[in-house]
Amino acid sequence: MGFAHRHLLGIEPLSQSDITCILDLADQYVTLNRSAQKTSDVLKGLTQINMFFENSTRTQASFELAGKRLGADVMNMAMQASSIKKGETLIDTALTLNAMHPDLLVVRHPNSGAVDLLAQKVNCAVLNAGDGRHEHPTQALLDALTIRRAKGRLHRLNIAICGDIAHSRVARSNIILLGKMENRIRLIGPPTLMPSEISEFGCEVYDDMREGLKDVDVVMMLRLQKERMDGGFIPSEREYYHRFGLDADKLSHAKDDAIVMHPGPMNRGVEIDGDIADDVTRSVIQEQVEMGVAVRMAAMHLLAENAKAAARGMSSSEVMV
Amino acid sequence: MSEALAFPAQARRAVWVFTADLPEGALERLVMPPADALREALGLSSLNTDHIEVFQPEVLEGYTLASFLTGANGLDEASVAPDTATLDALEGPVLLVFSGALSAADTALAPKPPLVFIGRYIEKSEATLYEAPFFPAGATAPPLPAETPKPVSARLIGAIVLVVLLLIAALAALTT
Repeated sequence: MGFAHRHLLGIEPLSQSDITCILDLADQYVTLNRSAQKTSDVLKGLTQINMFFENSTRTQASFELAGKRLGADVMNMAMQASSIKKGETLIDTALTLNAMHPDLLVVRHPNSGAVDLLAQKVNCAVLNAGDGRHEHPTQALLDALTIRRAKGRLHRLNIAICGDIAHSRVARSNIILLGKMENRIRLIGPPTLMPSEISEFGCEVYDDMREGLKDVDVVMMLRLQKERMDGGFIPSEREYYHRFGLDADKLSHAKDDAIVMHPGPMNRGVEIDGDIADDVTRSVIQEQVEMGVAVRMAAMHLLAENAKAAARGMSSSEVMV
Repeated sequence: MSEALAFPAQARRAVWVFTADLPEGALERLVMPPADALREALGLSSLNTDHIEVFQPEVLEGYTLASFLTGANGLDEASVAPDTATLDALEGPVLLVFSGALSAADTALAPKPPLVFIGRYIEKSEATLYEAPFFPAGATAPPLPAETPKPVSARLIGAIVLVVLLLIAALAALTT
């Protein structure tokens, strides 16, 4: 099965078979990661630069671990603290990067579109680790792998995405991916946190958790950002939890075997009850962290293979995994 | 005061674009921390230079200044569109002041020469603020449960007992 992409910038350009290709390879990496050996030399001799313009310890650590397990030389650049940011454009940054000759560039940036611009300017494969409100493709892929392993399939499921849909790149990438895989998606949240163009998403929209969660297979909670709590989008954290926080009563409306997901880090008692988050019979939040490393290993493996093939003059669709 | 120099409503990211009538390299030097002269020229009480960019538009190879603002900085195309021609015709260094550079103590910019204000551009709003109904019109909100006092945890009681015992032991040791 081929994966014909030079970069992983979003879910939007991926086909069903691209998604399946990444998830199948990630499944193999789950097995590797659970073995005593854990390492491979797929990226041996390659340089991976993690460039995070926004703080994200978890995502950065996951990419770092993924690269190291595949044998890459991994370098982290904390761009927020770096003087490289001051007075420089992204294009200056791209030129600086090209001088370092990396093979894989992992970028998180607060501005939608910034990662696309870097991908146009640098001479290596780029992975989007989250850009503004645009996309967070590896989060959607790791969520998809978690669902596929828990439910045995990734199609014809009823999936509820709950909370701050408007500001969430995780929600956006998940809506695109789960829609491509032919699932029925429900969006649940207060009207104040729904995107203005919600009708374009092709999802069912609810503002009542009990109604929206009825008979769903998957409950995907979203993190409520601190600035939303202070920014006039919700009346109070307490009221938000009362109406939209996931607790045992609201979860009882979902199917008995429904799984609970959260991209982390969680605000316990704001978007999710702590006991639900820790309930190993329902919550797959720890599995999501594990799947994150495997999915990132798979994505970097595929992009590195394509880069090697391009260097040899082969088309990426000829690369077999 | 021009509305374009006031800070936007909560959670709307914005950028203010300026040029400056200065010798080559002078604007770049103004941005170097602590950037007090730039802060004063912008009429601000504080300034975070991590959220400021100065560059020559010609370095944006393949992009225009307008498309750089929308395509790489996520600003609303509708906000930038009226000034596209002006932005793309700018020569010499441009200064971008992103809203992250500003502190809550200030509510507006008050730029002075040599800075020349070009325009303010905002990020597209994806949602409405709470002044819109948290519940749709006509919906009946279930009442919020009464807040119950939190029970004192056993761990806290244990810690207090331990401290008291340690104090008694220390006093006993002092008196003997």
